[in-house]
Amino acid sequence: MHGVPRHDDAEGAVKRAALVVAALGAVAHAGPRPKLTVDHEPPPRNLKMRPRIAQQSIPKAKSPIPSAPTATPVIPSNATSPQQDTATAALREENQKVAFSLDLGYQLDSAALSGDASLDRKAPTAANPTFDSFRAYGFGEVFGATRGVGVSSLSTYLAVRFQLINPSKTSVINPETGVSQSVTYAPPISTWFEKSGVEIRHGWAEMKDFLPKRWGLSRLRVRAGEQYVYGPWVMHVDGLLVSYDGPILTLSAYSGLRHEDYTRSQSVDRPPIGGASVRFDLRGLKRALPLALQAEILSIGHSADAMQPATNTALFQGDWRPRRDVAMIASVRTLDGNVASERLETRARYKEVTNVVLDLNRHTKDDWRWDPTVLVGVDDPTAARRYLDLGPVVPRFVGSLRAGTLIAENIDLLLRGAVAGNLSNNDDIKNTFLAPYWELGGAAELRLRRTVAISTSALHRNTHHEQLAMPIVDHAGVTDPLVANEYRGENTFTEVGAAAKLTLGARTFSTQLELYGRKTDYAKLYTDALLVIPDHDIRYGGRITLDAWIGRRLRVFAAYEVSSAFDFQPEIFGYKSLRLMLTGVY
Amino acid sequence: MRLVHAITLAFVLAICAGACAQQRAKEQALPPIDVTRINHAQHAMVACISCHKAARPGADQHKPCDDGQCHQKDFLGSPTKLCQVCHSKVESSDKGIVSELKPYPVEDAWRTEPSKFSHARHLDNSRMEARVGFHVQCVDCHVRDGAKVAPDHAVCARCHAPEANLINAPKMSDCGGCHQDGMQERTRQRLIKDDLHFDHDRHKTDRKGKPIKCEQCHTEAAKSTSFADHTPPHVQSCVTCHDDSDRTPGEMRMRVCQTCHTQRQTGLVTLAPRSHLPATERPLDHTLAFRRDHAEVAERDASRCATCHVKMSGNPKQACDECHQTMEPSDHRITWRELDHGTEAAADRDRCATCHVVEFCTACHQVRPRSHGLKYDFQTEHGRLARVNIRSCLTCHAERECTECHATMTQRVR
Repeated sequence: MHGVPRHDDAEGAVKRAALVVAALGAVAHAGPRPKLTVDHEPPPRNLKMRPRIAQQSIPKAKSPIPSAPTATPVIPSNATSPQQDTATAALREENQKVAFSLDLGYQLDSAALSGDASLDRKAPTAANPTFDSFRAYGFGEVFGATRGVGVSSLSTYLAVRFQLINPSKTSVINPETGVSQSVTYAPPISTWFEKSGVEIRHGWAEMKDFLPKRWGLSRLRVRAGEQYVYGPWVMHVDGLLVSYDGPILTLSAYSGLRHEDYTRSQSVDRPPIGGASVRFDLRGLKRALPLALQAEILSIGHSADAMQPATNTALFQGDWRPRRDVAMIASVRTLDGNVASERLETRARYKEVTNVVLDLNRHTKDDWRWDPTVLVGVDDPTAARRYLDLGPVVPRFVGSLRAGTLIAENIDLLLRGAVAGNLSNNDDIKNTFLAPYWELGGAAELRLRRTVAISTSALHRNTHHEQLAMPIVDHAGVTDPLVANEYRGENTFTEVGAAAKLTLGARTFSTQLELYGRKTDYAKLYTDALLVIPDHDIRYGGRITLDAWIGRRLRVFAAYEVSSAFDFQPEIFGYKSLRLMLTGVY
Repeated sequence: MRLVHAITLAFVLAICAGACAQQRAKEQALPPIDVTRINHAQHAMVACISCHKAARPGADQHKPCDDGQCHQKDFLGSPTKLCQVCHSKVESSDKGIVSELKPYPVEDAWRTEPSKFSHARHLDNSRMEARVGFHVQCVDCHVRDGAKVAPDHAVCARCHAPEANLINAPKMSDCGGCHQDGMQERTRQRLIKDDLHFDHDRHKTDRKGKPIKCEQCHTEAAKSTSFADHTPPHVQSCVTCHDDSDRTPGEMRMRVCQTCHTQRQTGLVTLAPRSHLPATERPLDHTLAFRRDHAEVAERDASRCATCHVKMSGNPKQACDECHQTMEPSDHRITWRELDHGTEAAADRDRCATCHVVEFCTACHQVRPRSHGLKYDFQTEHGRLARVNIRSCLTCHAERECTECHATMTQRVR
């Protein structure tokens, strides 16, 4: 083996000199000449030919109303995926200055007569109807939102719904007075769609970033008009909201007149509302603590029509986030100085799609009946009711656990359970509407193909009413006693459902078929030697919906829904409903 | 009921098993590093120009590798591993020394990449025009003679060589302008891998002959400031076109796996990754659980909700009711209003109260139900219905109403 042969220096020098001469003389392609200096292609002509378009770097569109840090810091999720960016960008520009939407709908409801007698032994016929077996009504919604139109710091929002219906009427004779009077046929399906009218849900204007940044004034936000305010309860008011949304301190105060919600006004009485909240988010400190403390008050004035007294509600909340995806929120709500409810909520999330929520609530006898506007019952049966009286408040514990995850990006699972128990003493009054129960439910959705998914769900609830030793025997011609409140109601309830969905994505085309069945077992309270009194009800039904977009602005929606016959209503075959809707979006 | 649950569970498990049975092609690992390759990090103290004078370092009689202070002894003795940096083998034979050279430059996953190259800088039209008087587009570097090529030094030289006479453009001799000393050398992530196949030539125009712009797929290229952050196209780019019948023929739509995958067949149960779903499919985190517990996310950024859910103002604060007043829960079916909602309200009235206030209940409960017939008809024959579920009566009527009537009536009340 020899070493690598080498030319001697003299011979090499001669050759190198020859190469240099050759290169200079002939500009020959000399083998290993570096491309960096000679062996390049000439600049393509089109490089110089492109016109100077004088483009300026387009700054990133900035919202005229920049988002302030949220007043309620939440569990941060993973960064938005590119898919989400793509998806959302395809639907609506977040910084769109004007957004407008108009819905026009038409609905048909029917309950076809079966010819059988109802449980009250009436047999309504087409010739002698006792209700309106077919009803049609129109409805619509208008939405409009602006951001930075006219004034860069101004945003507005308007949401209005309207309906048009012409209920059928007939005349009946008052058996007591013998006077004929006009009455409205009952609708096939009971709803509040009995009046034509227009209802404004939102109508506000908001100013933000209109003050100088000095002392943080730019964080001040003022919203005026018909709006929802978020305090111990979400309230619909006509009024004014002033808020300061800082990274550590969040303050808000509001005042206005309460607005009835999602229904025709039943009273001109609109009690005044005032409230305020303060929140310290210690996560904003330089030495951050994973804790936020919040206090809220809400004051509602006396309502003469509803016969409800003035109240003061306060809420104190602590929000502890020991880890990035774990949150524990504890709150205590008081009503007129008494503890009304306590709540502990624990949330945990893993990899964005696995969620567990444990929610524990304790309500005392001093809690409100439904929401802050209803506190006391009205014994006068002739008084006009402005609220549904579901009986007295019973001290109660409600706990629920919900957990869900997504497996292999396509198998979506949800499991939930809840348990509720009375905390009252035996001497306390009991309420069938607040009976102890436990329930277990779940749902699963499987995406079979890119655009096809099937799902199933189930729910079972077992309610623990007081049980009669034996049912009351119903004697003809004798006024039978009413069973006590705590014995009434259903014992068990079970529902199963399944659905198949085809979707090409939002705002394109989707259709869904749903099927479901329900079984309810009622407490057996009465027996009759001559008549069979049903104690359970089994019914089922289905719905098919179609949602198609024509271009990016026009949406057509249709839903057809049917139900089976009802055990308790043998006079009809069941319900049918057709809903058509046309939506224009700008 | 147990049977129903068992059937449902078995069904779900069967589907899951079928889905999992389909194995996806696993991502192939990068090839092992060729230990004979020159390590630039170890030569960081040597100026680039010392070796890269010629097109191939060392072509000039092994200079400068055989410098006395470097590897001279390796060139004077028997062939060593160092020889394999450039030669596939070095051996003596009857015809003399056989020293077959390896191809250069090496085109593999470990090739030296221009770590500092900035697409963003080159595609910033206004900046380019301000500095050199023109701007470039993707094809100026990536296409030669109509074919897509990976840009090499020759491409860069078209503008950066002295002959181009672009005073404000960096010079080719400034190696550090593109290459970072000691930078780990490995190829960036690629979208086309495993069993995927893709042909740029077939993606020049869409079904109707409309040109497909580079940035439609390479959406992030213009933002890339270095080689490392130059991400490959996202699958969503594919979805956008391959779900569009105007742009893609039917046999090449996203639903046909074979369009891109050679080892994957379209079957009844073909679980597509989330990235393959329609572009406007709901986001990943919108699971069944999310639909029930989304308050926290919505509070954080209501404006994100508004990007898809129309009828919202898009205002980032206090916007929950903009949706809760318009979107009906899925269980609010046709029988909900008259038959179903009562049991649900009794179990969880807080859920109702998320959207409804008390007046909403009364608005309906004031309306005479269909079962009551015409006015006055129901007074004498409601007993049988009442005995089934007396609670439904007493939802609207007070007990006193019953007793006041029943106590005074003498006729049969059933």
